[in-house]
Amino acid sequence: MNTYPLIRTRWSNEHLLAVLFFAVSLYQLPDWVASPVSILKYVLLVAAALVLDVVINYIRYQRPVCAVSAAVTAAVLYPAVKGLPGWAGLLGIAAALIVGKHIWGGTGKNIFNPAATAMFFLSLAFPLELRLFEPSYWLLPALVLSFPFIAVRPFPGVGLIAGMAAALFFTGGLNLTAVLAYGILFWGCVVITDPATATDNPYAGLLGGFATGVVTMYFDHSLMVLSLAILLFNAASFAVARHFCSSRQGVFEGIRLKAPAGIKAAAAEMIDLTEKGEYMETGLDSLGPQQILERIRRNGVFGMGGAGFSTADKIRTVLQADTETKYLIINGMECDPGLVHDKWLMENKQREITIGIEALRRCVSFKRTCLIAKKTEGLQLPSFVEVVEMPDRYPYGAEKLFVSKLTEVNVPAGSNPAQQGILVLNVQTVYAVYEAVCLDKKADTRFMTVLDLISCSSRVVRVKLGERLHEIIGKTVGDKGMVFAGGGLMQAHAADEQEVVSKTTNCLAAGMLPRYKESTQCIGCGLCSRCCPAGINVRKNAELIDHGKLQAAKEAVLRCMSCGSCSYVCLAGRNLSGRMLDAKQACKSEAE
Amino acid sequence: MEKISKDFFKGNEILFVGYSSKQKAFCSSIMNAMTKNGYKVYPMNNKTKTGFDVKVYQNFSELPKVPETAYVLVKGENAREMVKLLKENGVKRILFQNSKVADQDTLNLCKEIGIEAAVGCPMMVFGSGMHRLHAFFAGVKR
Ligand code: SF4
Ligand code: SF4
Repeated sequence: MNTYPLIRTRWSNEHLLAVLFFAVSLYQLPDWVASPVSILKYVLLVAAALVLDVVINYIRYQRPVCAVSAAVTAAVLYPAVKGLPGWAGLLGIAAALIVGKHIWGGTGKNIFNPAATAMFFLSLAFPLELRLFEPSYWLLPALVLSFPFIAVRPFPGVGLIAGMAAALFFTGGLNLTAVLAYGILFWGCVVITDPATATDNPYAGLLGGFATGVVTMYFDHSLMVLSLAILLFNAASFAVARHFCSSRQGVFEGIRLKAPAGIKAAAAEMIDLTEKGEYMETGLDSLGPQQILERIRRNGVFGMGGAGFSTADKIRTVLQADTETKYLIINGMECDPGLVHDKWLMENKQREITIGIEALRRCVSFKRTCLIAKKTEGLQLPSFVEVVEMPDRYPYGAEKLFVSKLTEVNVPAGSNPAQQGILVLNVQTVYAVYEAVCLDKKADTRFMTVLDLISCSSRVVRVKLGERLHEIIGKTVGDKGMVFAGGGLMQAHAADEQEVVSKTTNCLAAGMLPRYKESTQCIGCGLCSRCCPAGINVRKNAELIDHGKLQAAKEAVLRCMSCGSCSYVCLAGRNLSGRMLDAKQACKSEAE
Repeated sequence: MEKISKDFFKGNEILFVGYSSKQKAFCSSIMNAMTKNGYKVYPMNNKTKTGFDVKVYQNFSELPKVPETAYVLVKGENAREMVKLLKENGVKRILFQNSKVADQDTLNLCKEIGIEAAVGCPMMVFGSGMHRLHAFFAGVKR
């Protein structure tokens, strides 16, 4: 069964393209004000594009597919064909959609901008000028609305605008009328920024955009030159993506996630579904390091952050690590937007956590002990614990991300922090260490967050390992909706009727299936790759997986941390992280 | 053949036959709408095993119990066989998504073997927004 985030962005490609269509349509406002009849011609051209696209998509996918991208193509093309006979406009639409888009595989798979392709073909037959727009105040709404679209591919956009403006400046023609008439913002904000055909490499984008602008304005103010220059830029972008793929530059700073309101404020009372036993607290002073370690092992303490590994084994690995400096990092980040139980523990069990830390420090002599959390206010831990506040971004709680930030140690691929002398434990694991060592209590219970996604509320619940998930839901939030379980809101699966609490179950939720519409219309926005903490080209690898090319995707698949960010942001509603996880499991079982 | 209404879905369980991973968005919206209305839904697909976001049962023996009402979304050519199978397993009422799924022959078969049958999109009963409008024009009582 698939794993997926239970929340996802509200935006989709269709939303984005609909706004873009509206923005591009507004460039016709001066004409429509002067001659309302011209609206009809515009509507007819857009309708022709929609019909053609729907038909081709129906043939390709055997079902109706949203054709709003074709409407955008028609809107971009319209200024070039409005002065031509109607049949030329229809020819342009056919060239744009068939030659520019569908022969490459459809939306998002095309190398060349469809509208620029059509403009180039039409300019071979008709002398088309570059002064396509009537300078007028009526252009203002279009300019304002199209400007934000430069953010889709800022570097080519800025490059093109700068290139055109610079060429006009050096030829003495730079003024507001020229900027409007030549549609500099039109080309720079909504045409060259087409994410499927423009590189996201900053240097190539800036340079390519600038060259496109300069060549067009300096040598010849014709649409043929501009469309050809854009097509060459598209070809260069394709080559850059193939040979010097760089979907993200610089340090990854995580993403901000929006969880349903109300979830973060957990009910103050913890619901305890476990049987309470009688335990006597033993002071740490009466126990030696070996006895502490033995109690941790004997009571089966495991990593409660989601990994479920044996804590005793982890401590032993740290002890055996051939490193001079040893670190203890306590992870209280809880960066998943749905989890609240670690926060509850830090607020309500500080004494026990402090004793747990002390017990660990008696086993290993750590140079530095840190506790990381999103909010450190109100935490009163002993001075030897360095409390570090981290940004509320996702997935900052992932070991790989914070270890290198806190220590100077670079954990090589194939190794883990424990092998480098760094003991990373979740807050709840430290609490379990306290119980195992001081109360001699088995680690057979755990705290978890139970979410009610229908009324948007959360509870902290203590449960016994092996308890049926559906029963817990019934006892805490009541039977409603479907039951999901997993590491958090960002990594969940629909729970089977008989599924029980395991070592890795951090979160339980009652709610509805998230809408992954698995649209075929990926526009190549690149958000999935930009948000990937592992620096994976997610779109490309998801495609390889979809085509069964597991070997080609293997390296990326094994690097995937299953954080779910790519599924959360995907504007085509594709569960990309689910694909990666399936492929990872397939790779692992192949290796066994 | 009767018009669908909430009364058609007696009991609080529905068997969803033909839950497909290819029509993910459609199937999950029906699943969500039924669940929202308090029904326990058992999705079933006897062809595909993987790619689902929920537990999908492959055959009747896997099902923890067989509900009395089934919603069928299979290809027309498979509908008659499915009706017989559903009857054998104790299903009493079947809702077919549309007349492409259940032609007159299939509906006649239902009548012959004593299965109450209806044709219509369940979203007319369980959905909101545009689906209510659809229900209004189709004369479906919600
Ligand atoms: S590919 Fe893996 S690591 Fe990258 S965003 Fe998706 S789930 Fe996270
Ligand atoms: S797969 Fe990636 S590039 Fe395609 S729409 Fe989704 S987020 Fe954008």
